[in-house]
Amino acid sequence: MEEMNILKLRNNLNKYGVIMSFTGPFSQGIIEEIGDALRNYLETKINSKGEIFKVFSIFIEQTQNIKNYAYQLPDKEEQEEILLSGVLNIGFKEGKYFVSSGNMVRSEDVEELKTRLEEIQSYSKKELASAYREILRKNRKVENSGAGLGLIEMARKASEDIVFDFEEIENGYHFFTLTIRI
Amino acid sequence: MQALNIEATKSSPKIKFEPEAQKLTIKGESYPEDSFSFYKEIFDLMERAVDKYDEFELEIEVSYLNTSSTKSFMTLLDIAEEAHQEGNDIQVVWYYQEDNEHSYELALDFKSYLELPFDIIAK
Repeated sequence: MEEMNILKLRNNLNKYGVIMSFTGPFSQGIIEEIGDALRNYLETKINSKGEIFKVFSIFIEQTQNIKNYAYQLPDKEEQEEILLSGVLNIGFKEGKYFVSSGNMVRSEDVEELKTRLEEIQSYSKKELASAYREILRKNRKVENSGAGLGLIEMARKASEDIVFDFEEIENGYHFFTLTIRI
Repeated sequence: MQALNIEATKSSPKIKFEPEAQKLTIKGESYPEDSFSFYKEIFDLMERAVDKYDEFELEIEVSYLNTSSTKSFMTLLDIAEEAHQEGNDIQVVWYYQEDNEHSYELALDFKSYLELPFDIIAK
């Protein structure tokens, strides 16, 4: 078996400006702990609470997106596989913080997700605000009702276009990546 | 109605219902794993409270809400708005830390969707 070169891994993370990186299943407890560590770190770098919550909020929405995607699938084993495939990076590059995540998605879901993301990408900030309002004002009292709001919220808080990609990885799955610069 | 006191956790706010004061207070941060399940009991409480009391105050001081909690807050505020439309005396007071735009912008969003008295106060 080839030994993993941790230094290479670390150098690669450095190269992209990654400050924190996590891979594996995100439990609520892990999300809270990483979130705390992230905020403690940001407090030493950024003065404004609002800016800190911006980065934190994108971190939370990205992790919850992965979880929500996994949990709506009927099969437990598949849910676990998707949760295990989750990767999350928070970093700082060229003067901006970013949150970048990746996870497996069913290939059959790619088209719909891609269309949704392209639509969000094309929106102006004003259009994002009205799309946000529209989702918030409908589906009242419906369970799992945050659905769809997360992506729009991230795009609203982003300072640049959202960046995404889908890469085919194995039978029936793609690897979905999403980067938000704040 | 009975008083209620739910202590805050890292990802869920403190919730206090005081029947004598006719007031519900929500304070803290909110990003629980399942926000709908967390707030369901509060929706029920709010429905009963505005049914029972003609005057009611909702005090909110949240520094952070994730999107599914935002959705739950909208539901809660809609219950208050409905009571207001029916002629109840409902007051919402939203406190935020001065440097926390996240909380301030949430308050502005909510206020713009509603007609009930909604004060936004910096601390």
